[in-house]
Formats: sequence, C-alpha cells, structure tokens
Amino acid sequence: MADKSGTGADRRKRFEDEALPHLDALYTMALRLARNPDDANDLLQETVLRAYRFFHQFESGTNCRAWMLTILFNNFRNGYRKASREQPASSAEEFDRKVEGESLRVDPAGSNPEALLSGQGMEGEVETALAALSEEFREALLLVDVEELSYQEVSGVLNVPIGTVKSRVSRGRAMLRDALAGFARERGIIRT
Amino acid sequence: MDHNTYIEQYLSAQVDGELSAAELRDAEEHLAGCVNCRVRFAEERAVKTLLRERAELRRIPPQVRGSILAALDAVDAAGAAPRVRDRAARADRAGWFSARRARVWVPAAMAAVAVFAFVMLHGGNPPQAHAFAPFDVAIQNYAQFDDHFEPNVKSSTPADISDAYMEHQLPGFLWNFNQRGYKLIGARIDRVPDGSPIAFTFYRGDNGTILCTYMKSHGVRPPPGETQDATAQNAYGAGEHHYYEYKGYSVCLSSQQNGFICILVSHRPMHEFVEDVVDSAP
Repeated sequence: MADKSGTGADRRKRFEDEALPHLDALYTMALRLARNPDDANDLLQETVLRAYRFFHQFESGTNCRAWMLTILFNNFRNGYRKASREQPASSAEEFDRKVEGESLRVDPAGSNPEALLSGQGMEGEVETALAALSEEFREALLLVDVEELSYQEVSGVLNVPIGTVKSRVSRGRAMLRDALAGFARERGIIRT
Repeated sequence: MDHNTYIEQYLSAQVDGELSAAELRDAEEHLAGCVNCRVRFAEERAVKTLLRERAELRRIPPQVRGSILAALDAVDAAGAAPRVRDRAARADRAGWFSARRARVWVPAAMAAVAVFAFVMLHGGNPPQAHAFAPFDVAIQNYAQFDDHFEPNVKSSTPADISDAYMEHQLPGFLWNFNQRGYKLIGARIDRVPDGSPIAFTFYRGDNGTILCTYMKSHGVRPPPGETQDATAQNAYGAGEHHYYEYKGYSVCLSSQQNGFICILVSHRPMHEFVEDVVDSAP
C-alpha cells in the first residue's frame, strides 16, 4: 500500500514521481475520447485533480497508468460522453462500408507484400481505419496496443469482464487487419 | 485444435502474451502444423505493431502541463488535498452524510447472501431467479425509495456523487440516463454489517424510476433465469449486462470495478427497461 502518513510535500512528490509521468498517455487518450483539444484539456485536468485527491487509494506497486486511465474513463462517462459521442458502426458490414467510403484514394505505388507489415506508405490509413471502428473495439485496442495494459487492467478501466476484453481485442484487430489490407490493395502495396 | 478455434480464441491473446502456459503449448502445437495460422499470427503481430507505432502517444503541450501543475499548486495551497486521517472529518465538513440512521434494507439481505454463498459452495441446485439475495437487497430498497428517496450524499451533481463513491472505494462510474428522460435525483451510501459500503443512486423520469445499487460482489455469479430476448440486444460483448424479470421488477446485473456488482431495478416493462439500459450503457 501507498505510504499514507506522509506530509503534504511528500504526497505531492510521490504523485509527481508516480502519476505525472503518465500525463502524455492520459492526454493522448483524453484527445481520442473528447475529440477536441479544449474538452480533452478539461477532461485531463479533472482526471489529474481527482487522481491527486484520491491518491491515497492508489496501491504502490500496481499500474499507476491503468489506475489513472480508470479515473479518466469514469470522468468521461460521467460527464463528457453523451455530448461528443459519435455513431459507432453497428455491424461488421457497416464498418466495412465506412472504411470503404474513406479509402477511395489510389496510389500506383509498386506492389510490395512486405510493405503491409512494415506499414510503409500507410501513415494516415491506420488512423482512418481506427476511427472507423466502433468505440468498444477502438478503446480496447488502444488500451492494449498503445497504452500496453494487460487484459486484466483493461477489464478494470472499461468496467467489463475480462472475456469481453479478449473478444473486443480479437474482433477489433481482425477488422483493423481487414481494413488495412484493403487500403494496401487499393494503393497497390499488395495484390490480393 | 481446429483453425477457427485458434483464430477466434487464441490468436490475439497469444500475440498479446495473455495465454496461460498450457494454452500457449496448445497454440504453438497448432501453429507448428498450420501454415495459414502462422501467416495470420504474423499479420496479427504486424497490425499490433503498426497500431502502436502509428497511433503513438501525443506529447502534452507545455501550457497544458503548466496549467495542471498550477491547479495542483492551488489544491496544495488551499489545503484541500485530502489526507487519509482527515477523511472522516472532511466527510463531515462536506456534509456528505446526514446524521439520521440509514433507512435501508440490509442485514437480512446480507444473511441471505451468506446462504446463497453456502448453496453455491456446497453444490446445491443452482438458485432460480426467485432466490438471488443481492436482487432482494436491491428490490427491497427500490420499493422503499420509489415512495421516498432520502439522499445522504448532499450534492446531486454526478461529479460530487462520483467523488463521494470513490472516497468510499466504490466504483466512480455513474449511469447517465439523461437521454432516456431520467433525472438523477440523488445518492446515498450506507454500510452493510461486514463494514463494506453499499451505494444507491436514484433516477426519476416521466415514465418511471430506476435505482442503481452498488454492493460488494462476494464472488457471486449471475444466476440462471436470464431474460433471453434481452441478451440479444448486447450488440458487443454479450455477458456484460444480465437481465431478469424478478418478483415483478425488471432487473439488470453487471460487474463493476473493485469487486462490486451493479444492480439496476425498475418497475418499467422489461423491453423498455432494456432500451433504457442499452442506450445509456458506457
């Protein structure tokens, strides 16, 4: 457990050492959730202040980033979500149509199957494919692949059973793979 | 293991390092004999890598960092940052709790939870929907609160209620039924005999009321008897919300953070209640 008997200065120091290194991660997720910088800044600030206020509940030795992301998601859902919620794709078919609609550019670059794996020439497409995923899949993938949380930690952040995390990651990554393969085909990076 | 089983149940978890030792052995055995799945494995890992590299972390702008540090300074200067030994006094100052004793139906219910746990542990017949103690706690309190809800969390803003819940290590998430026409009326936090907190959030709309109850799960699992047509509406991640028609009430059970369960109860007909929950689900 965290040391709960420290002075205010100790507490601030521990917070700066353990929590503030995750500000970039939190800021990135706040931007993705709120979808505009002003709301993201508000969401981030509220999250950090609440984390500071409840820092005595954080258990040293556990993942501070996961703990703060839990607060961030709770704050977002308590206050921000409805205003900025986009319509998620409700099915794989709808998802495919969304991706298709956003991937009409064709680049006659040389055909190169290896390029898909290296991501060469796919700078904007990852974001486009990610944005076309519904929130459930996107959040799970970002938390696992970008924030590098375990399924158990994501289960806590998103408030869903671990089996749900597993299936969201699996389905989300399959949809992302298909979308990226589609982009690569259209751009001539791969042929099939 | 067949091809589909590997793709659907093992592939992602293997790439993420989430398989148990036994599962990993099974997965590797399958991969050794299946060239298609080896290709899928390479692609899966490539997508993960691509996402990590392309969806990279953004650097927080210096002015945003500065304003956060300034806000922390302001909190320190005001002495508002809580220290654990001040919690009780601060809760008093904040007026979170009324002096009046909780009028909340708990003790018999917790005995019933113990009975339920006993039945589960000793291999009795699975309890039917008429014998699930946590639901009894929730509906007994709902029946009372539907007539008269007396909050003891003094503020009725979601942020303040969420703070009060977190202060008691309850889940900080609050349901928001606004877009279904329900107003958040207020919240109360009580304690059950084992000392763990139980929280009630009450919502009222033109067409009815909903009570959200948070209580420790004590390891209970969703009971059988789920309303079948409702589960189909969980478009993603079926199994998060379990719906029951229970003693004349519509009930939804879900798991929450920190070992809590959430039980939503309403008089609303099941199909309307399911829509309320699905539309408002995080």
